[in-house]
Amino acid sequence: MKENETLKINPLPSKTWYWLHLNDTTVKWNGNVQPCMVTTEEPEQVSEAGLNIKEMTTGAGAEADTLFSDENLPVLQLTAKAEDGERIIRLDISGEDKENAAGTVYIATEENAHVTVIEKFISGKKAQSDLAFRTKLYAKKNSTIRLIQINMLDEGQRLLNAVGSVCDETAKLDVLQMFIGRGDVYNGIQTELEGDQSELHTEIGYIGQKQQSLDMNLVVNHWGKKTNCDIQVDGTLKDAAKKVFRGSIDFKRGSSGSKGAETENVLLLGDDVENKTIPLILCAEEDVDGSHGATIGELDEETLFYFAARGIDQETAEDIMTKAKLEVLYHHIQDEETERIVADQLTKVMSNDSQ
Amino acid sequence: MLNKQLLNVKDLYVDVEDKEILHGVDLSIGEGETHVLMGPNGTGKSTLGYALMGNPRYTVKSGEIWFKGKNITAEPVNERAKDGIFLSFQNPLEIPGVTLSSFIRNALEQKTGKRIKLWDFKKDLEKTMAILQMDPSYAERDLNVGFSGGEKKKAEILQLLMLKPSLAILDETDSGLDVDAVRTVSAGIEEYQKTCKGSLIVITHSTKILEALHVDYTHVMVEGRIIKTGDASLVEEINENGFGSYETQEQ
Amino acid sequence: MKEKSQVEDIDRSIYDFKDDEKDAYRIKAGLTPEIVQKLSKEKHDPAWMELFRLHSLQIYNEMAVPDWGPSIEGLNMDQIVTYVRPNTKMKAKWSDVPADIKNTFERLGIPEAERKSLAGVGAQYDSELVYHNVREEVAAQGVVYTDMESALTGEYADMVKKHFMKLVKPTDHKFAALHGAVWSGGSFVYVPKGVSVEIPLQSYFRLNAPGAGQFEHTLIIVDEGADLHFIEGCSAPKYNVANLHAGCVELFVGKNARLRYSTIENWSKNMYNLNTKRALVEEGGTIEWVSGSFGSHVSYLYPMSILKGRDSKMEFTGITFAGKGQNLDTGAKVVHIGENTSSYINTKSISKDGGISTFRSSVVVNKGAENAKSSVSCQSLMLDSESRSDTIPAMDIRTKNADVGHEAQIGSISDEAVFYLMSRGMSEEDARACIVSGFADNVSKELPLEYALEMNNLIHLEMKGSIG
Repeated sequence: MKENETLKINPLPSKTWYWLHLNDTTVKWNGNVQPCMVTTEEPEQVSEAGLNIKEMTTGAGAEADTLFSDENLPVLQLTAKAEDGERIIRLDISGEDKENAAGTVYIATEENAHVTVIEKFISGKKAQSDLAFRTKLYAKKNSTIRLIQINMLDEGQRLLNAVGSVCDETAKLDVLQMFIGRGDVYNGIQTELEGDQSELHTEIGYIGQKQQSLDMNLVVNHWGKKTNCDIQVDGTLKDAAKKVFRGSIDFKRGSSGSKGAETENVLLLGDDVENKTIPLILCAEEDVDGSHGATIGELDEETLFYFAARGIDQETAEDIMTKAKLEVLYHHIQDEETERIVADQLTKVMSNDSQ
Repeated sequence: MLNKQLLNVKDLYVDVEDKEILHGVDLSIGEGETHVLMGPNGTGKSTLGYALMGNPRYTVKSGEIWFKGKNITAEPVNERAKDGIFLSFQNPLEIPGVTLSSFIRNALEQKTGKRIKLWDFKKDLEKTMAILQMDPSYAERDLNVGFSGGEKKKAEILQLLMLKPSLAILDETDSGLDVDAVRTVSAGIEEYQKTCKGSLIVITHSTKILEALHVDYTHVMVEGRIIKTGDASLVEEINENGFGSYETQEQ
Repeated sequence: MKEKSQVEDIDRSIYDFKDDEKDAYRIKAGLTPEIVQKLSKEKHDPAWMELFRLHSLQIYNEMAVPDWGPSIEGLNMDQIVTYVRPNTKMKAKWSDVPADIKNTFERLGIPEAERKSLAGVGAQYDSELVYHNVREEVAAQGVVYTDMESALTGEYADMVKKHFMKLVKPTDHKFAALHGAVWSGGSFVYVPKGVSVEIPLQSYFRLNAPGAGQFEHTLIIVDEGADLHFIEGCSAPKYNVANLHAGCVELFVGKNARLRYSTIENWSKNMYNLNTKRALVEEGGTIEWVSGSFGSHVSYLYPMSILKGRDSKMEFTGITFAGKGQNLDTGAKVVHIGENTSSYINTKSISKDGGISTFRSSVVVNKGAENAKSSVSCQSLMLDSESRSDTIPAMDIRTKNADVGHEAQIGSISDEAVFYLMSRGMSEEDARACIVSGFADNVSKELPLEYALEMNNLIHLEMKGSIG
């Protein structure tokens, strides 16, 4: 791998006009990656996390995979068993003192198992550094995986977060992501709803400030019958923050009875913000129901008037709404310890004086 | 005895989306007085409420609004709220992620300009909720999210009691409520009259909510003008005869 | 289990008649500087135009074929004849148009429509206009409506030179460059300040020659405070060889002016329709697009509106019906530059019998386009699982006090709706046709009556079939 690799990541599944610069994102990433630190309590390592989990595609795309190819990088393999009941696996991931670090985790479930995986991305010591992390999930029949990812990296610390996942029959995947750090984020999630009646629920919340850039690519492929997905993305852009959101729901032929819905709300508060949104619905099956909706702009007049009628000025109202979007999410984490950390981080990231 | 003047509306003309709705409204309200504003649907009662609160969609074309001896015609909404005007909404905003309790606390802090001790606030809030027979768990629920119609109205009255304004405009607060809920809401309004000594403009087209209240003045609004002002007995008269006679008068 | 009604292929008999090519002048197939020069000479271009053509050809040769849309592999440029001149000069009376060509337009109902409801008509047959006429009272208002060739050398030559391919530059994409090199025919319209043209003008484009391309150029300038409705119609008979349509439409909408541009495109299913349409709107101006896409084998069509002046507006209402063998990639583009600009895009698409329809759009709100408002709504209907329907809408917003909304739905005809209509005594076939007509209603009611009837006719023919 080269020192300064140019990668095309987060590819859109169906291209559109090049001048929009949405077909993919070009990033320069140091290809000489070092192992990242993954801290966790007693996870039981297994040698083989599950069928073809390694071959899964992540939403970040094939070129991003080159960052994880070095043999020295950590690869955690975990399996959730049905007899363990509701299990929570917490992973704290950090680049520590490395300038560029990477790692992978494979998590598979047995049939009927339920597991919550909480990944927190924690600031390293280098002011300018890159962290790449890949999570691959395989939810077997009738199992549930909840993936919770919290980005708390400081300004100057970039995160590339690549997620690939497959759901078998009646399996359910919940993804909850909160981007409440100050660094740039590249986030790609791909989900294959292979089994009949499998489901994906995704909730993403973010706040972008200063020169921060958030680049997201979500791809959901509906293969099985009566599969279901919903994607809800809600965030705020301040100052000169930039955001790209690609959300693609792809109904493959044969996915009859499936439903897919995505909604995106973006609150624009900065004078120099840039917001790009491209919500795709690709459809090769008659008997499906797909929808997407987006609202982009400032706080609407009704909302502002209600706040003002209670004596709350616009700036405070905007702060309250920004925080509210994220508070809604962290109450869904359902893990007290993490909720507390998120609440603290939220206060920190929202306060104007902190660096 | 005449009460000290609190609100004085002088010859107010108001447009909504370039359509004139109010055609010269005069209204004077003294401290501690309760005024009822009645009239058929779509005559501009709510428009007057919004204009007094200063909703930017409602443009004052001419006329003035004076409150506590100050011309507030051009004042922004939140300043009017801090001055002590309160409007209860027919369809209040739902905000996921902001609890009822933290919303009220925020509003109070903005009003007073200082931090409010959580413990005192919670006690006060709980007490007030009890008056309105609200389940204390509502304090920690997201503002109006999943509230029934009645609960939303109660949440508005709760804010009224907590914020203690000097003028409350209640816009159809009784509409769509069952008998018990109306009774509870009236109890809340009585509490406001008693403890805050505040003035009230009650916009309504039913009279149920007025039964328990002491009414000083009644105004009848038809087609954007107040065409008759009387005392509490006017309410009963309208109750019996409806607005028919006023509407023909107008023509 | 109940069977779905099988939907027949569209009955094109009203469009699908061919004329022999009698004595027409036909340039060699393919594309070289020599061919372009020859074409330029044949057309008696001014010198600048010949250079413009050669320059465009160079750009064409340098640019890549787009890889983001439907495949155009079936299109071999070396086999496309770029210029076919009918054996007649342009006439201003139908009785002077040669009988076979006149007959063609009679069958398409153009002269009748002109008598009944149009202010002026232009009729293009292959590469050249064969008929052009405008009502006296409209001409008396100073309205200019002529073929592009006359415009290039006539009284408005300077105005044409100033605007020609300035909005759609040859560098825009490969087929805009091709157009620049080999364009022929089309209309020039100028509506002077404050003039309101009460009834529509119409141009009708008919491509008769097999294996040929049609590259008409439409340039419309609506001056300050003026008002115009322009209608464009296209059709062609079906041949076994690929035909190409790479037209270009440039619309300049002046201050407080309004232009409505309606199109019913019904090219035959061997047509590659790679058309470029663009409008530039000044302060307080309005552009309204009404667009029905029914024909073609492959279509790339996304009328673009540049809202340059403050308070300028665009409205786009479109419908696309992709049947067997069709891959129709349609949509709209808008760029908000001025303050208080607004755009409203509303589209419907229907896919059946293996047809592919793609809705593609872009909404760009530039920095400084304060208080811009945009609303996009697209709905797609899938009539069977052999077909495909994709929605690819992009938004790029760089002003915080913009208000941008987007919604899209994709689905099939609801069984409950069919059941409801059947319970009221309708046959399943009628019920489904009724639902599809209702689905397309928002577009048909934007069209002039004759066109709405034509469109409804097309939909009913398309939906007519037997319960299989």
